[in-house]
Amino acid sequence: MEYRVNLALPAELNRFEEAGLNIAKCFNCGTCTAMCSLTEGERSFPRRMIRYAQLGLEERLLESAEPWLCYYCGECSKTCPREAQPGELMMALRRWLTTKYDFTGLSRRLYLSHAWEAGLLAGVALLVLALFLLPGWLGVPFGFAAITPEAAEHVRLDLFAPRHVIHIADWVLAAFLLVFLGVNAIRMIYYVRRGHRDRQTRLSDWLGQAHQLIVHGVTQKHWRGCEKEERRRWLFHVLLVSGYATMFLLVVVFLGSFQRDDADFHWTALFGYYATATLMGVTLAFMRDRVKKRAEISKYSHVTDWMFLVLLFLTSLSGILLHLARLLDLPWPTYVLYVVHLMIAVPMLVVEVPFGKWLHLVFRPVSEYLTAVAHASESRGVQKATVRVVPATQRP
Amino acid sequence: MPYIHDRYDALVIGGGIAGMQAALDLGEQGFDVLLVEKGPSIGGVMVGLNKVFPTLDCSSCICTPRMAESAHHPRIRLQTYTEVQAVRRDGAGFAVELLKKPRYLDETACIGCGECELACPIEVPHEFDYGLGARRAIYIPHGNAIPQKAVLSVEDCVFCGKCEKVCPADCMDFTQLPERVTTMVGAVIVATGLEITPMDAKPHYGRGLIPNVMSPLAMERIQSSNGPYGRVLRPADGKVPRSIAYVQCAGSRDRSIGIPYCSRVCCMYALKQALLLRHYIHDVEVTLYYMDIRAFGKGYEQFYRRALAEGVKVVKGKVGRITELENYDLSLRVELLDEDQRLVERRHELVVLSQGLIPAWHPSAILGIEEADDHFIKAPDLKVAPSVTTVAGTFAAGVAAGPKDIPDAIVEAGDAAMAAANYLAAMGWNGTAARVPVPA
Amino acid sequence: MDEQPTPRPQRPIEILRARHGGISKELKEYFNERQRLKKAIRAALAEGPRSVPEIARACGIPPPKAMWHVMAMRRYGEVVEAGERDDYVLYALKSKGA
Repeated sequence: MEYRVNLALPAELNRFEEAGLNIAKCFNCGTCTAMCSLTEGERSFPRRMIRYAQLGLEERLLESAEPWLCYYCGECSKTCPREAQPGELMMALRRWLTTKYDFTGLSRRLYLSHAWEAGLLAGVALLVLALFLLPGWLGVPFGFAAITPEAAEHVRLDLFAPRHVIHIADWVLAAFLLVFLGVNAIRMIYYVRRGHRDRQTRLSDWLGQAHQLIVHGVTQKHWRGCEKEERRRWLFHVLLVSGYATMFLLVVVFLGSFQRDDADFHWTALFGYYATATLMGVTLAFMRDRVKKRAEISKYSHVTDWMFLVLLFLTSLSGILLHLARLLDLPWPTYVLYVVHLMIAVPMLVVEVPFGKWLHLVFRPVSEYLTAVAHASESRGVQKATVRVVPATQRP
Repeated sequence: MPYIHDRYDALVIGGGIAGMQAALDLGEQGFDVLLVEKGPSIGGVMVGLNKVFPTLDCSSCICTPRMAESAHHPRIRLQTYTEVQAVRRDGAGFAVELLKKPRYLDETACIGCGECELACPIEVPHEFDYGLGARRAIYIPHGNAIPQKAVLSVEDCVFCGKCEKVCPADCMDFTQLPERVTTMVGAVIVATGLEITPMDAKPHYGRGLIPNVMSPLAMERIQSSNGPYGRVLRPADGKVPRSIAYVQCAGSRDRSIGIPYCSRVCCMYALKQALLLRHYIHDVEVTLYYMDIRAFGKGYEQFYRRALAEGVKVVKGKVGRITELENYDLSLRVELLDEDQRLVERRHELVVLSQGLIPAWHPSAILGIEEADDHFIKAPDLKVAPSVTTVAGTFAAGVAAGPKDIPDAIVEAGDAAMAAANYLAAMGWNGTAARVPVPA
Repeated sequence: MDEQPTPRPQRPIEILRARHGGISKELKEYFNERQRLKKAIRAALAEGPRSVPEIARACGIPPPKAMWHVMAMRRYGEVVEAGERDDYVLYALKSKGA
């Protein structure tokens, strides 16, 4: 396969970062790679990535899993002899790759345009609001139209938002996410394998290494290989993932017992408390880091980085307020907060998860998986496939 | 004899190769020169080097004749162990204030026999050997030192008084105090030379705490026949190293340590040391880890080829981290840019950090001359008047004006001398008329 | 020094010592250790030529330290090279007659 040189690539990547990155500064000494404690053998980065960017080898970047193997400890940026910020380039690459794996083109618009981002989030939020307002006009007893005198006196979520209806909506949402995340993951695998087509792999390794997806998805354990100071951030991130996963399971799988109709306390709330506490605590801590700008990872914040934290925080906040209102048996605040909660959570899940920063929850484990498969096949001595190099002059 | 006259045509600050050359060039033209050196001997960095590139001449063999000439020249007054405290514009010239540090002996009476050094009971790390070798509290700076006079380092003295007892010339004078001396000069040449990048500049290279991670100047001493070990051994345990690595650009071209410029000599001195190591140690493996080899001078590219032909290995890639292993070997983490861009850990028995050059002295406060962004002395008209500083009558030569090799330093010193002579003529400096005859 | 005239004329070395406030604690410790190590190295070498790691083991000090002290003794003629073994130079005490 031939590689086309995209001279505009450095400028293109500059649109995905906030640090005023100057890719041309790099003189390719390799200090960043040698400083990185995650780089290993031929799985070497960031220098190779910067080189591809400098040369405009867009396809090569697209075929690289390496940006997702970097957890941004920032050691490369701190020690770069040219102050070329390799760590920030890796971050920009992750954003750019996210838009490349996305076939709809929506991700690109969201990353590059505040108007698209705000518009789409607001649009979905209004749609959610409409779902609770419109049925009343159509005579369907759902949402605000379903508030009977009884429901106005005591909390009756079973009338306001019947569990079976919400549950169906949850499943639709989950299916929607599964399709988009899955397609993105498959596209990523396709590109990366295309880049490594000279390395054959075995089906047995693809199957044998499948557990890596779960391990890395849950723990991001390679992050612990970064500099020591990163341990705290890694731990926080694991907490965040656990909180997020708990909440997701409660809503999508166990909604039947999680969404209560009255002022009763139910044991599922305990999981809800755990998820809320970790989500709010960690997002607050990460926001504080981004304000203080001490660590390399939190020095430069793209709007999507803020959106990630703010939306998670607000989702948790509205969720716990809703819970309180219900426990205190305050009907109207409960209903309003229920809608507000969904007006934050649903746009987050529909817009940000399949088209934004959340996608790293797929790409990171997949990249680790791909690396593990390649590694396993290689260590079994699977031969390199021969690639025929077509001289440039023979091309049409 | 009063050791310093009240008037000189020029003051040369720094008795290294550039300072000596400038003083000699002015002296040969008939100007009276005051050559001031802060250390106890002239010769600068060069006299401590083993051999010079690309000719592989013995460095001290080239340097010592210059030193002797500078010391004995009828028009040069050499003043060692003396620091320049103040230089002020005064009419057509400059009023100069010097601080003569006490050697605690009568310099004119000392015969340099070294009896005091042999009698002294305490050994401390020797600056001349960059700490690897020993000297005593009272010592002759080194075998090629000029003047061959002892100096007592009072910080290391245990006050036993043995030196006084054994001195055959009876020259010890423990009551000496620092002495302030003033004189007038028509022009000033700054040739204060270099230091190398501090060994702790890059935290990932061991912060200067790993004994087998060496400075290149220490390696020069180790390779020298009069070096601290008498042969090439590694400092941690005296082993003959069989695998030696050079880390190029360890202290230059690196914004993260505030030294963004190329020091211009590291590629060549590393190649030279590597080549010589191949001569000194049978079957030694020497590897240079480099970003690019800058062999730009006359005969340098040929020297590079020669080093390769004689078995010096070069590997493209900048070393990221150096870790000390349990047996004092070192592990170097490096991306092999020319070999599949693999990241590897390479094991070596000795590592030399090819440190860069930084100015040894910052004269702006004393001389009023400006520094450039790189902290070397600024030459406002760099292309056509490289030795002219921002203060009229003050000139710069050698590494004080920017990193350079020995031939360039000598050429620049000649230029500074010429510029100073022209300046004195233009100023109508009547040095000769006011000159007190100097005893030959 | 001006306000407190010394009771008796001092020897010049005493004047120097007084001006510098005597020997610093660190220097005194260093000097004593140096004397002790010299003795220990001499004792280790009395049994025959030794390499630096062997001397270090015999003296109970790390090899880098032993290296410096042996080299300091070599510099002032107390120790000489006496062959090589496995990439290590052997050092011996200089015989009195030599």
